[in-house]
Amino acid sequence: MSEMITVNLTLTEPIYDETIPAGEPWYKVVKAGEVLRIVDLEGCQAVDTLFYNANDVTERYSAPQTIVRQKNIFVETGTELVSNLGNTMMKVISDTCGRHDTLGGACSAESNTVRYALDKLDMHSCRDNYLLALGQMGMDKRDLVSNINFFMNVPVEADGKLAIVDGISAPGSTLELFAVMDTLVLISNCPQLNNPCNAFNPSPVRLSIYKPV
Amino acid sequence: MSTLMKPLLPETILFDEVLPGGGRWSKIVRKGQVLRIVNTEGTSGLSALFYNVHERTERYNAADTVKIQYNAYLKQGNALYSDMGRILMSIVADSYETHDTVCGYTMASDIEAHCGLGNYQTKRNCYYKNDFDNFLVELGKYGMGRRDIMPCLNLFSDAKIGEHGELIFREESVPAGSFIELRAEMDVLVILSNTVHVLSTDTSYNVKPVALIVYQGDEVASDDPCVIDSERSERAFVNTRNYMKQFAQGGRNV
Repeated sequence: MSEMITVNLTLTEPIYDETIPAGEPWYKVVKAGEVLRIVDLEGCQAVDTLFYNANDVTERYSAPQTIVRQKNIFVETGTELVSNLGNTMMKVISDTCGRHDTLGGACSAESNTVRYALDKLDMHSCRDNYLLALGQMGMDKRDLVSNINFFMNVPVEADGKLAIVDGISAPGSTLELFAVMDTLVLISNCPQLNNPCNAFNPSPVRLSIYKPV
Repeated sequence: MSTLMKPLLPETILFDEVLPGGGRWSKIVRKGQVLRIVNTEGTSGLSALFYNVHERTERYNAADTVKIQYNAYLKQGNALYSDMGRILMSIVADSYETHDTVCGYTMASDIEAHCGLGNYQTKRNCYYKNDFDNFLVELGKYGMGRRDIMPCLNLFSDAKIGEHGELIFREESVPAGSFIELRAEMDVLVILSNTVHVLSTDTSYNVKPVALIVYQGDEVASDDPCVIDSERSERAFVNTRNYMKQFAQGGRNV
């Protein structure tokens, strides 16, 4: 089924197609049966992403349940993104990058002061993007849970050591998410300048939505 | 790693309670107080959530906790971070140092899949409780709900991450008598749910009790191991102490 959807996609026109500049928030409902394609245009860009049931936003992406369902921390082709109620929200139907992070969460102004220096409070961050977008939708900080960092490489070593290392995402890396339910997708196209999650150079991503025929 | 629990003066003990298997518990632990959890019988999968009492949207953040400390596993000297660049609780003693920040809570369907149906009609007050429902009930007492449930911390849980990102869980490895001590660095609402670990395949729903003691801790020294754990922990303590100044009474920090 996955392959059929992918093949069909190459034959249809997207119903939505935009390039999101570096450092910006974005949100949109992807309806059940539609496919969201994310392209890391220049490579090594972290795309911090959250998911909500568009019809009841108290149901939202759960990193632990997604990890436990597949018994692995990395998102790849075939991964089902699972909600806090145990339901599948979206499914990764194709992926040319091969590794996406579920543990690192989003950067914030406040965590930057701890991770880097107290005077980093004024730097732009994913959490500020999230709060702005959520505020525009009538939601707030209580709606923020651990997100996925698409195209970001966070390996865990045997002693638990966790590092945010140079990305493995090549320019043009492409990920496709099939919506199992009507899903509100919220993205912060990460503006972090303090670590290599963006190769120290935040860059744009292309977001397209397809309605498979 | 501490292997011996320090003896407590009786006058410093505020609470001394037992949380039965399957049970849920909550308490406000004020800055400077210490929550000692004693795993008397070696149970696995005590799930925990933590909130700033004064602003409950500030809460335990697993991602920031592992990212700031560059480690997915916690040990003595580490801390539980909120999402605001501050420390909720420090791990001042830990005999086991094997806790799970990744796997999250159980739901009714997880329990039923392994243990079968254990409802009130058949089990009465021994019905099989799960973490998600326990959290909803306990949070509900504070006017909180589903939106307040974050990825939880699973204490005494041997869930590791393998070379290729796979989860490796060992249920039988928790020694009886294991303990951990969490010192509140701000006023913290602690929510606990004592069910099985979400990766458990045990079919018996044989969850053991844990002992919970809250005692008044000593003043935090300038060379406290949790403070000087890293440059990052030092900055987090600066942030946390600055935040707590607004609650100072009569010119003294509370």
